Amino acid sequence: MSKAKSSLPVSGKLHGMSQMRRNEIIAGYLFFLPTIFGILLLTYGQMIYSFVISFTDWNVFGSSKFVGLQNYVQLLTQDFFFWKAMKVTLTYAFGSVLLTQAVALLMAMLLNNKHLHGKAIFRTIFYVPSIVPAVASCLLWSWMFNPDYGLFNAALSAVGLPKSAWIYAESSAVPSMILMSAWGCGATMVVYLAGLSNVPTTLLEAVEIDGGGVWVKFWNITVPMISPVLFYNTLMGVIGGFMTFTNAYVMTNGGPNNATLFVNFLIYRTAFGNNKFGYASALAWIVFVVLATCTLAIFKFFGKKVYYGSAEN
Amino acid sequence: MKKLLIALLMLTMITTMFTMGTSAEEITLTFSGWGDANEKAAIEAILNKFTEDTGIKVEYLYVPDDYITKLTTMAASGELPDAGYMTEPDCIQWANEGMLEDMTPLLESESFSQKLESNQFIDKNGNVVGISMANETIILYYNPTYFDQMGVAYPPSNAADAWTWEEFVDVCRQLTVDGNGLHPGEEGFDPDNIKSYGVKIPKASSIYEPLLRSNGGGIYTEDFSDIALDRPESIEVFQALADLIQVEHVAPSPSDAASNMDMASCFLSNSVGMIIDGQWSIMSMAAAKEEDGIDFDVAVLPKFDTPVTGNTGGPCVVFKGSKHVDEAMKLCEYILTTDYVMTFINGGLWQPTTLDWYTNEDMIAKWLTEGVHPKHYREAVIDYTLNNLQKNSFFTVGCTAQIDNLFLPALDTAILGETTAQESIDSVIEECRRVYKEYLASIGA
Repeated sequence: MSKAKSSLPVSGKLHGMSQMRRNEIIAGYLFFLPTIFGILLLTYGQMIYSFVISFTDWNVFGSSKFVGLQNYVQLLTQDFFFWKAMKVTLTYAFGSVLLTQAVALLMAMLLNNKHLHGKAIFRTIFYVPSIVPAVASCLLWSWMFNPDYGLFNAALSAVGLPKSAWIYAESSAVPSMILMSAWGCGATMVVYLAGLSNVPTTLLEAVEIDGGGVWVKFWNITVPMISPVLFYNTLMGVIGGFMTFTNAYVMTNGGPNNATLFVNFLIYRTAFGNNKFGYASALAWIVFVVLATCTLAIFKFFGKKVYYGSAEN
Repeated sequence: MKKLLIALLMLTMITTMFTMGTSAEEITLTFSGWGDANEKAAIEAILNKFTEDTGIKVEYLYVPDDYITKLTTMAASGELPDAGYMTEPDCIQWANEGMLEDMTPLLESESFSQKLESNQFIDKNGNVVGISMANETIILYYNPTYFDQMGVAYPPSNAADAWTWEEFVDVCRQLTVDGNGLHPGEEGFDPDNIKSYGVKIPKASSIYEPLLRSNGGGIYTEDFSDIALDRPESIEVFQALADLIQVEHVAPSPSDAASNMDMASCFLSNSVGMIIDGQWSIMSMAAAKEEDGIDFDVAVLPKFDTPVTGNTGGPCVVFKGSKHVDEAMKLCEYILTTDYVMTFINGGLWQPTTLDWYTNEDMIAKWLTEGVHPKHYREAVIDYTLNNLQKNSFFTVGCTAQIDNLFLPALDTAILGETTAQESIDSVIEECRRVYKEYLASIGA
């Protein structure tokens, strides 16, 4: 494309070239049309539709009535589950982001060590859990969390520590799931690894020459250099945390005593369990607004601190 | 060009005539349902028989998972099947919204055998809108081998002799043993190292409801005008259930291994002596008996005051919007004919829904199958169903899922011993009432 562009003004075959370019442009549009169409039709279309029905009492059956802001008001002021679900989701989202990012970064740094042999094998080992289907990993973790015969309590007993009820107790259910989220951090780790490989060794060596230790190198060189990756992973982590559904659906059904009632699970239950699609849509939009606010806040507080290289800076 | 146009026009006319002709003669119904491979095959056989007998074709829409999600989306796009299975907690809600046809004409038709009243789903207008394909009575399963080993008498299979709750708890204590062979209440008994439990009672409204009713309580009042969860009689039952785990130490807590094992494994390993469950488990237990030699028998539930049991039973319904309601009803008649589902009846998965099968000795003889139905099945299931069954509330109420979602999670803390049953119910009772009142208002009650 760039070659064609550069030859446009000089050549005497302007007409022929522009025809070719025109064809290329048309072909280009045709190629991305299915995607654009897909996004418009299957994502934005639904979003707009859900926004419209969030102002109605639509329950799938028959006609729906416009109820104004009633769904939103009821959700924010009267709903029995909403605030509990929001608290659970926020706790999980931020807890899992912190733990996942820490573990992923730590593993990436271990793998980035130039003295390490068999990097490919370790990378595969750490990455594999993230491609295990969500339902399978939920079942696996249910077994490991079982207070009676699970792996974790067996390990705790072996070293003489008190057992935990893990996902079976109200207080430890969400922390258990946060712990579980770190298991699937392989994909995040690979992104960190890519970021770390771009940290100039010259800078690190310069710190070493100046007598700086490991921490100084990490905090003053590595972190700023990988800050775009750090920023991206954190953002994706928060969004992913808000989207959690499978854990509640497969492992706990939202229990015990709604301790793992993630907001997405509540939306699903309100829509398909109680057939309140208008109400569920309002719930989805509130979650969208909260998530958008969190994303904006992350952009505002951390976006400016991200280092994109000297030119852009 | 003109010739081409005329030719095209003629072609269109001919095709239209053809399609009109065929659509007038040929009816194709759609029938939807879930189930495992065996159930699918059995349903297909019934549908084929229906087609052979009537000439009406049936397209079978098999949805093994997330059935109600699929059905809801089909309803949203106006593409519901003509007839099909319906999930129990959704049936009345759908009917009250006018999505199901009145099946009273089918019930009243001469060819249709009289169904158990406890298998009929009744909507807000008093119409029968669904009839269970199978009845499933809630009963007490027990492991006779373990009872013999512990020298304890078997549970009664006759409702008149049903254990009182105290007698039941006493037997549970005799069956519960810790790692040192001690029973609860004995000096040195270790509740953290229990080898065998007396009983396992799954947390489900279908299992709790008969126990509540046995004590004069309930989830709803008898006339369904209010919630009855906070009646002292109901609280007493919830507390008794929590105490089985936390105070008596005779039932496994939700996190114990025994809570997560199936019935056959519980009995095989002597982890549990008795389990309350639906009749449907007869099939898997009969298979376990044949394969692993696990013995089992059935008995009636313990009572608080009066002997009461409950039931479940997914209905067959005709969806509103079907263009062939009469034919769809006829199809339901086939699905609801006991003779056509004998594989399930003899296999132990289903109980008949037809009254005759509970009273006519020939039919009972046809039902009971050697090697499948245990010794006391006749009394503990057939007679018990006929005489002591109060049907599940979801046969009448259209918001049971919402109420269940409120009070069942709240009971978790009582079951874990963190609160009393009274405190658990108090934390949700107001919301339960609000939801139920809203529901009653929506149906104009």
